[in-house]
Amino acid sequence: MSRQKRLRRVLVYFVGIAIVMITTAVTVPGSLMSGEAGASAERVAAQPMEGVLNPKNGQAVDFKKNIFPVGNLKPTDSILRVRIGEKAPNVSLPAVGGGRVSLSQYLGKKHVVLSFVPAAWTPVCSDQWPGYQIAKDLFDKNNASLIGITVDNIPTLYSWTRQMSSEKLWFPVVSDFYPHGAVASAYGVLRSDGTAERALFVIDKKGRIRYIDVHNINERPPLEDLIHALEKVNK
Amino acid sequence: MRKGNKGTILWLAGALLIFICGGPLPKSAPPDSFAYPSEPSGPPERFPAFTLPAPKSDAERAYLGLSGTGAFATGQIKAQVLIIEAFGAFCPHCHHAAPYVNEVYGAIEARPDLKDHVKIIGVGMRSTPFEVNLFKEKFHVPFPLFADNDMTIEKLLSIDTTPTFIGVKVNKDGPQERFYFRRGSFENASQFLSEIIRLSGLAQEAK
Repeated sequence: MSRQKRLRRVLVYFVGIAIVMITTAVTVPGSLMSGEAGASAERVAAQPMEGVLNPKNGQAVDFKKNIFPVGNLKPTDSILRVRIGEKAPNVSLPAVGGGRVSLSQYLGKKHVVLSFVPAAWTPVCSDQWPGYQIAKDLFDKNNASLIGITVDNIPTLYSWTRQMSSEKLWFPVVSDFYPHGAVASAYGVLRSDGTAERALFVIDKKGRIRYIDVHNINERPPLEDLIHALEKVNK
Repeated sequence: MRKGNKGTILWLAGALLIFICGGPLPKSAPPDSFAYPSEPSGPPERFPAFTLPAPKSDAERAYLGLSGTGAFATGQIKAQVLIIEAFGAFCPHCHHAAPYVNEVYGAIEARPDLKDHVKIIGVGMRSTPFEVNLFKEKFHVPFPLFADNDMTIEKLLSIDTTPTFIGVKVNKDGPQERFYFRRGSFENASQFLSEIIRLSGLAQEAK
């Protein structure tokens, strides 16, 4: 075959391929090569699939489908080691947002609510802190802050808390992962399976424990009980 | 094999490969794409009657067309269609949905042909009155909200996800009919309202 013929054949191949590409782009909506590619990719990403994030708010499209069903658990499974009126054991734990959060940081400044929840990605827990997220005004009104604690590690808490709100949580979330459950154990709310109780402690500005609610793990503590306790402490 | 045939086969194989690569992506989502998987409403079903405490606010009682201050049955609400939002005061998806539901309320109130015929209420699953009130204040919810802390209504209506939206044809003298059931949120208020109007039969009545 002469050089000229070979060149012509190569040219024919290229023209043919170009025709196929154009035809595909025009006739197959959503093809990777079509003008709709970007839009289609966006639509696919937005489909209601488990674990997919809604690009508008960064939340999981179906957050609740990612929650592990734990069933009905023993309401409480630990022995409290602190009492109302006692000095609160110190808390100094790594926070999801970086650095460490200590109870001593709040001394003389704000009352503190320690909210222990059993574990990330479990029912009830996944509804409890989003509620506190919308109750910031009530905490502020009572000169109180909140620290969320679980025995999960930081990466797990990072993923989990990101699903709770389109806005960043206003309170720090800390990890009592290593040494495992050391703070939960100091308060006497570490369960025999290594998770924490669903427990609330109100600690006043002087560092004294003023309210304790080791709640039934299967139920969310009513917000009003905590707010009334804060009102009493803040009087 | 002749050189010409070999070339044609190669050409066809290349074209086929390009066609496969350029094939369609998975089927695109519906316009209201951030909804949870929501089963079709299905055929209308008899809606179980339940009672709620009358709202404390005069304006909210007037909105529902209630004259008394005691408990009332949903069948007493002065409307042809009742939209019930089953929500959780602490549920993050209900927080996200709140502005869109408010938008539906606003759209209904702005239309004289719907204003007196379609009403919305919200029932807070596993939420105390205090928590429901916080939700109402935080998200400026303009329609009446009720608490279902003891899960009575949750069980009665088979609610397993929040938010869930239920459309009911109100019949003062007989059984009420559920014509709409949607698990999960929406972000397109006008599409949601159109669906309610269409499935309730209000659109046909208007013709």
